[in-house]
Amino acid sequence: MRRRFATVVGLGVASALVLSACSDSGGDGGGGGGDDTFRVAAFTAGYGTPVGKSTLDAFVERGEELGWDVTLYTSDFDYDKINTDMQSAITQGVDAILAGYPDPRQIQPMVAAAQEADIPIFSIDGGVEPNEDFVVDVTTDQDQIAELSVGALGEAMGGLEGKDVMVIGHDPHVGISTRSRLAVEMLEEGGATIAGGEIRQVLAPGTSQEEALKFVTDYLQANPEGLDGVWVGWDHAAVGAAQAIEEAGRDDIFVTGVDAVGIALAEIEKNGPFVATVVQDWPAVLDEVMGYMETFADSGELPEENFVETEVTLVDRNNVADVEPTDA
Amino acid sequence: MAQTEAPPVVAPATPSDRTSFTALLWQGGTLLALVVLVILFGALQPDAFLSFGNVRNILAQIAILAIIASAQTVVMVVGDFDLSVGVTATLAGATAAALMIDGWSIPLAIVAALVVGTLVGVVNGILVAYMNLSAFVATLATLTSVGGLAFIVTDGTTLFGMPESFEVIGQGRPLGLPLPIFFAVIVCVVVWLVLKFTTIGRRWYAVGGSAEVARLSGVNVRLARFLAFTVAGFVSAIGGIILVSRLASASATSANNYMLLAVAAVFLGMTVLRSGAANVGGTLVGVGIIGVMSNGLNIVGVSAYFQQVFTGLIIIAAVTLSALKSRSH
Amino acid sequence: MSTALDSSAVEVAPALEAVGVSKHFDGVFALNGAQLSVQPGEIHALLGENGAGKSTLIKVVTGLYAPDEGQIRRNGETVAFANVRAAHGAGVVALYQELSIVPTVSVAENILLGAETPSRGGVVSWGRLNKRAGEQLARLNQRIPLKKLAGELSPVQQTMVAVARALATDARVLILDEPTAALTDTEITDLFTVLRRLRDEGVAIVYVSHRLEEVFELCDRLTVMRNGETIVTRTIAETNIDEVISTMVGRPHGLMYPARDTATSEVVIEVDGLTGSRVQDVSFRAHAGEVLGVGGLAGSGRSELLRLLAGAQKQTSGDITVAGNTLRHAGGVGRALEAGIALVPEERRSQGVILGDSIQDNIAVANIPTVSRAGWVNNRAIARIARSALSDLQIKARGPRQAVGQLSGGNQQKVVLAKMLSRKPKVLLMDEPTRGIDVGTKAEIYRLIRRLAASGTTVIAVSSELPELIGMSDRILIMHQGRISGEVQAADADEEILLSYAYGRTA
Repeated sequence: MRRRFATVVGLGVASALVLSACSDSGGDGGGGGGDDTFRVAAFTAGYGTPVGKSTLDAFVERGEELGWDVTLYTSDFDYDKINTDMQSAITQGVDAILAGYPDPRQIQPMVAAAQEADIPIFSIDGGVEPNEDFVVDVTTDQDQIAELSVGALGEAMGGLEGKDVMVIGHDPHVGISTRSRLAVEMLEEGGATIAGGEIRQVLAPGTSQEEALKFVTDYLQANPEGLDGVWVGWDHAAVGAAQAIEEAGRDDIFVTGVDAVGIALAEIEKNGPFVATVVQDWPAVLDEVMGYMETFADSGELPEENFVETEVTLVDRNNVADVEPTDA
Repeated sequence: MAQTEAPPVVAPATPSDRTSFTALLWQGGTLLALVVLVILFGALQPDAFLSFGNVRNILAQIAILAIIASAQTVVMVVGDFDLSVGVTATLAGATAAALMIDGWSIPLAIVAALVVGTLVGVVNGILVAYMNLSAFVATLATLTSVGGLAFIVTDGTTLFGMPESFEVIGQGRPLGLPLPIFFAVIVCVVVWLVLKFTTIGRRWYAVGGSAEVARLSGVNVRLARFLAFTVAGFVSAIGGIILVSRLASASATSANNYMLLAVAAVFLGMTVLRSGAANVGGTLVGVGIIGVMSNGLNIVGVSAYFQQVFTGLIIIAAVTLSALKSRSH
Repeated sequence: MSTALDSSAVEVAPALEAVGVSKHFDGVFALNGAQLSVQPGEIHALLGENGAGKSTLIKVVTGLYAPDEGQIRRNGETVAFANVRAAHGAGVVALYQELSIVPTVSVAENILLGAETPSRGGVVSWGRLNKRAGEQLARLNQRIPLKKLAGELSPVQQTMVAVARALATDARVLILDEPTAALTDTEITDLFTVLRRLRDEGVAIVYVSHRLEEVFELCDRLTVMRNGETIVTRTIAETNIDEVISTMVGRPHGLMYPARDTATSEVVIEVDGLTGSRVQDVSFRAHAGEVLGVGGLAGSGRSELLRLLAGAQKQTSGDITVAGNTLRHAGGVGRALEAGIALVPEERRSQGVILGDSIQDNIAVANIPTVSRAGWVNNRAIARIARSALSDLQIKARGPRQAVGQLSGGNQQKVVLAKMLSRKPKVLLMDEPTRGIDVGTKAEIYRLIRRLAASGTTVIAVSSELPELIGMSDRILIMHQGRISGEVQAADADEEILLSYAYGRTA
């Protein structure tokens, strides 16, 4: 009797889990879809990040407003799941694919399947260089991001020459990895020294605030005089770095981030070590991609250019009040 | 039949002394590792590593791990395993943050967060103790679901803007020492007292030693296991709330990493006792090893990737040593 | 010895020989110049009290331990087995009751576990596998379904499967450690038939057992060990049970059982219509100072009766009344203990003691409610209980903090007893009180049981050994298929009467 009861409850819990997993990946897409409906399979492995979530949610909403049949597939940086989900979506038949913040190195199985089925892939922020896998990849200009943030950091420190700057990155992320390397080049060209000799790597983006906090605290213990600035590839880690500097009671070390998330904007407003971040205009990027997809839906025409870099904006104390947080 | 008188079966060396000495050496292996790490980093960076500021710094960095590892210790004393301590801490912290941002008073938000953590423990306890699911399966399921709840509570974003007085919990410095250290000491002492001196602690150890023996000795095994998971949920929640206050932010995964580190710390600590049971003192040694290694390698300037490799190697070394120890007997 | 050129070429080299083997752990000798010589085609009993060195000697000859001194010879040649696999390779295999089979795979796979699995290109060839496993079982004259999971077999079938596996790897020396512990009488007869058949095929068999009657029925020769040394090797015809016992103990075989003179007429426990799993409508009374024996075949419900009384198993109907209080067993073991019923369970190592914990901690487990106030445990009270238990029961240990796993079986059993006695039970239930215990400690346990009875405790003891049942009890209940099939005063009992009740022939 007890065993049967346990089995029933166990099955109940299990099906609840399965259901929650389904609703997690199922999205709002309608079923079936006649031949005249434009069917889109959208995916992102970065649904756990604020920007990934808000951009893709906006895409689904606007696509449905246009009468498209949009299905969204998500995972928490699990490309195996994404590839599997997308391959079955391709088999079931879709007209176009939207890749949200994909890592071009990790989606080859789905790209091959899409090419075989002759389905175009439109991409948002799919890397840092032109890529034949996508009919178009609209992204932000990593070079400009690095330039603006390094410039702001240099200004706060009073020039780069002879300064020690820690660079915190996360190589598994293509965008962060690219801009971190560009930043290192620019810093070194300006005469600064990279603290510790190399880019400090954070293990997991989800815990990056705490990791960066420890990096900077520990580094300052060992080298109290060896740090003038911290360049961080994204805001969450930059917040941790700024907290470490405040806790150490220092007002001569400065931090910059990238993304303009709410908590970073609040830090910049505080007049603390966090001096600047860079806002990537994802709504504008989305607009551009939507435009290309609409043209394709209406006329079957593909974009001429396959790699579009959009402008980014520096956010510092002067304009922080006017900037909307990207994760609101 | 031959009735030869047996010569004494005891060899000349006083065996009990020798046994206890070698045993002590083996048992001390893990503690020795901690001492060796301290000496090593102290020699490499004497000024930076052994300074008062850095010791305080290390203590602050391991405080939250010590709390979550205490939670894991309780469950592992019973012979089970809780994969959900990290996400439980995350969810509790996120709950507190979300409620405060919604305008709840700080004490109410904290109580609510503790209740949420305790409830996760209650669910784990029911699944394991009363539904007879294996702890691995049950807590893997809650790990998944609670992890999802954390995304829902935070809406996938980073919550911030809690009242400043809340930040005192994680950032206050009475007597020049960060407040999380005090919390960690209190939690560890309480868990130690409970394990060592209370009836439920005795029952937990008995169940962990052998559930069947405990049952036949009159221990309510189901209740004991249920309570262990419940306590683990509650203590994890404490860790999660302190972390959120410390970072002044709550994300959907902020404390998740603590689960593996906590398990590693408890495993390291289990090698300290001859019986191989989980215990708070040993867990703290394990926490110390993890903390000293992370801080020391940062100070020496070794990449985080290598830190992970070294943590794994230390666990292998400690567990191998204790396995050798039990084989030599 | 170079027997090859010897004139008396009849003498074959021993299949397995241990010469002057010594082994010590932490300075204590487990073996001190032990000798053993087993001929091909004989069943050789290896006897001795617990701690005499039998297990260590087996572990040395099967490659589990390396000897500190001495030699192992196989067919006259000196060998050094680096591990168990090497010993297997040389045809020396030991079977342990508890580790001998993998319960979750089929009988056929179990039999061919150590041998090469028949396969084609990595894919198991089930046809050939079953055929070869079947051949091994046929050799033992056993009919066991090859595709059944081994865990579903009866204990004797599992033993047969383990033997078949040893033979499949071409074992020529087979070492059996207490193979009959879990078997019924008919199953034992089956096993003996198989062992004799193997002996006639020339297999050398080492047979370790505490059951001397069996040894005298089955074996050709015996070797007695004591304190890590070999005392004597004899043919069965040259000796007798009493002589063997006194050799094992090192002193003449005295009176094992103390006098029965403690029973009173005061009823302490009254059981009325007790029914539960394997127990049907059992009613009886037992008195202060009485030792009530419970016998019956394995599976007759005798152990289940004790477990029902102790609250370890749920009763479906019936009443248990202890000293006027009627118990409802929804509360389990804890409630029964409070009412004054304590159980010393059958399986000491898995049910009685926590091997890794200290004596003190083991005793504490059953005493948590009695030594605590408001949820706090008085650790000093526990230490006091443990210390007095050590001296009262004469437990041989370094102190209350020694791990129970380091004690001999007899002393472990005393720890279980101490644990339960410290609850001062009115009714002490003991399931196989002397199983796996050496002769010397057995006598001590019997004296202890009588001492408890003398102090007014009611002892209800299950035993599968009839001489023990008769010797230790005042009165004996025999069970058959869950019901009481007979009741005898021990003074009037003999084994014949008990057996006829056990087979259900009610008088």
